[in-house]
Amino acid sequence: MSGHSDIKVAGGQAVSGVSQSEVTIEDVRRVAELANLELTAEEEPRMQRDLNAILGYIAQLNELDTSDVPPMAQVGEVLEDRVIHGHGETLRTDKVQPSLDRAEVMAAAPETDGRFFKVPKVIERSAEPKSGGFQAGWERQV
Amino acid sequence: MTAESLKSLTIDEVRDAVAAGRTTATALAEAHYERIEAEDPEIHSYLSLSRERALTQAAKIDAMAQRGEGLPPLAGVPVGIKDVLVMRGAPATASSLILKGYRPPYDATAVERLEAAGAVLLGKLNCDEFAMGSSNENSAYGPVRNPRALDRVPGGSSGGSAAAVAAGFAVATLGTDTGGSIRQPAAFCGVVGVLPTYGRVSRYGLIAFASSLDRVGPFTKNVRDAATMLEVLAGKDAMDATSSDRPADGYVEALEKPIEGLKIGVPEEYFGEGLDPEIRAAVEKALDGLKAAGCVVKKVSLPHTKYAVPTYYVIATAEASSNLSRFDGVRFGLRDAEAKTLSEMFRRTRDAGFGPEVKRRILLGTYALSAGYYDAYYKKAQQVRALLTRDFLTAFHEVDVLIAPVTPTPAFKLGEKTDDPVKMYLEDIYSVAASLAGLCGMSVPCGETAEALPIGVQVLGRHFDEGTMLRVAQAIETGQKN
Repeated sequence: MSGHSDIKVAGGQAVSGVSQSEVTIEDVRRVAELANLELTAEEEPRMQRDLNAILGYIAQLNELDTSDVPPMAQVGEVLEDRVIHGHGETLRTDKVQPSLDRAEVMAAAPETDGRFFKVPKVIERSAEPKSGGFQAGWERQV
Repeated sequence: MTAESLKSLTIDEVRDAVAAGRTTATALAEAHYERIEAEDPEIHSYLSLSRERALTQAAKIDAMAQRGEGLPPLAGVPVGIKDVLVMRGAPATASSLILKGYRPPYDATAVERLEAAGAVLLGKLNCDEFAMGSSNENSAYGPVRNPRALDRVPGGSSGGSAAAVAAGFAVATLGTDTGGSIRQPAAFCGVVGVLPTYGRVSRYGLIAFASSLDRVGPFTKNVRDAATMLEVLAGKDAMDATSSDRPADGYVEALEKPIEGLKIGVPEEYFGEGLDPEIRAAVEKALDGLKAAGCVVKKVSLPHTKYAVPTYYVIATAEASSNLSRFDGVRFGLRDAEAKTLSEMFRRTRDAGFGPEVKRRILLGTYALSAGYYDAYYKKAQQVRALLTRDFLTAFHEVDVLIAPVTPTPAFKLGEKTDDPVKMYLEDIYSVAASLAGLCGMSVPCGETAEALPIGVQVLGRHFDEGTMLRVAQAIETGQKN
C-alpha cells in the first residue's frame, strides 16, 4: 500500500494525493479486521480486485486542486439560515422524555437476561492486542 | 374492481370513492392483497405483508366514512413501505440476513405520518441490502423484476417500491434515496418518484446507510399524488435533528400556478457521451414542451459533474462503514452462536449476515477513513462535495429548476452489470450530484423506448423549493398526455 505523494495537476500546482499502487491481500485483511469482518479465502481476492478498481476510479479526484476549499460534511452548512443561527440550533432541551419500552427492546435481542444484553466473554486471554472491536476503534481516525 | 382499474388508481380517486361510499377502504385493501398474491410471486416486490394492521386501519377509515366525517388526505389509500423503514411489530430486514427475524418496537416517523393521514399500510417492500445498489439484485431475499419487462431490473435501491406502484400492488409507496435510489427506479419502472430536500422529511426510524445523504420520499402514479404524499410526509420532527422547521405545505396548491416565465436550466454535462439517444430525444422533447408552455430554457454548466460519482462512493461508504458497525449480533437480528469470544462473535455474525456489496462498501469506507488515508480520500471528497454544491447554487442564481436525464440507459437486464462494481456505480452518474448537494429532485415519466421501456426525466429544484419542482414536473406529465 502506498503513502502520500504529491501529484502534479494540469495547472502545475501540487496537490496532496495518494499514488495508485495496488491494494494487497494483506491490506484487505487489515481493513477487514478494522471493520470486524471475517472474509473467507474466496472473498479476499475478489475484494482486492474490486477495491483496486474502485480506488483507481476514485483517484481522478486528485485532478482537482482543493487546497482552498473547506470540506463540506452536511448540507445545512451551505444553507443560509443554518449559518445565521449557527451550531446548536437543532439541539433539543435536555429533558427526560419517555423512551422505548425496555421489555420490548430486550425481546428483540439474541440473548438477554431481561435487563441487559448478554454477550460472549469479553476479555481474551491469548491477548495479542491486535484484533477486536475496541482496538479497531482506536486505529480509525474519526 | 378490475385488475386494470387497480393499476391506474390514484390517491384522489381512492379518497373520493371511499368518501362517496362507492367502495370501502377494506375492499380496496383486499383487492390489493388479492392482486399481490396472484401476481407478486413473479415480481417479488413485497418481503412481508401487514394484513392485520392494514385491515384494522381500513375498518377505522370505513367507520369514519360511514359516519360522514371529513376524511384525511390519504383516507383508505393502500401504501407499501420500503423495508429499510421500521414499522412496529413488522419484520424489518433492510433486505439483509443480518436483521432476519427482527421486529422493531416502534414506527418510523414517515410511517406514522402516513397512517395518521389515513393510509392503509399493506406491507414491507424489497430493496437492495441496506439500500446499497442500483438494480435491486443485492437483496438477500432475491431480486425484484421490472413489471414493464420481466427480464429487466426495476432499478435500485428502492426497486420494490417502484415496481409495486407500477404493477398496481399499491397506490403509493415509500422509498429512500441516498444516491439515486428513488429517482432511478422510478425512471426504470415508469412511475413518479420524489427525492425531497435534505431535511424536508424525517428519517427517524430509517435504518441508516449514509446519514448526510439518506432521504425518504414517495413513489406515486402521478405528480399530483406525489404532492399529496409530500405534504403529509414533510415537516419538522423532534426525533430527527436534521429535519427542518421551514414551512412544509401548499405542495398540491402550488400545482395550480402557471409555469409561464419559469427559467429552466439544461446542464450541458448531463447530455454528454454515454447518454442513450432515445433518452436524450425524450428529454429534449420534454424541454420543447416546457418552451411551448412559456418557460425560458437556457443552457447552464455544472463543471464538476464528472467528479460526483467518485465523491459519492467515498462519502457514502465512509458513512456506511460507521453506521453499519451497529450490526454486531448484540441487540437485534442475527448472532453467530458458536463464537467463544465477543470479538469472534462480531466478526462471524457480520461475515454471515452481510452480502458481498455491503462488505465491499464497508471495506472501502473503512479504508477511506483509516489512518494515513483520511485526508487523501474522505477530506478530499468532502471538499469536492463543496465544489459540486457551489456549481448548483451558482446555476440556481440564473434558473428556477434544472432538467436532466435520470439515467444514462433504460432498465438493463438482470445480471448484466453484477460482475463489475464500477460499471454498476456509473448507473448513478446523473443522480448522485443532487444527492451530495442536498437538493430536491424527482423523476417523472417522459416517454418510452422503441422496446417500450419507460424513460424518466429528472427535475431538480432549489433547496426547499419542492413546489416549483412539482409544478414543472406536472407540466411535463400533462405534455405527455397531449
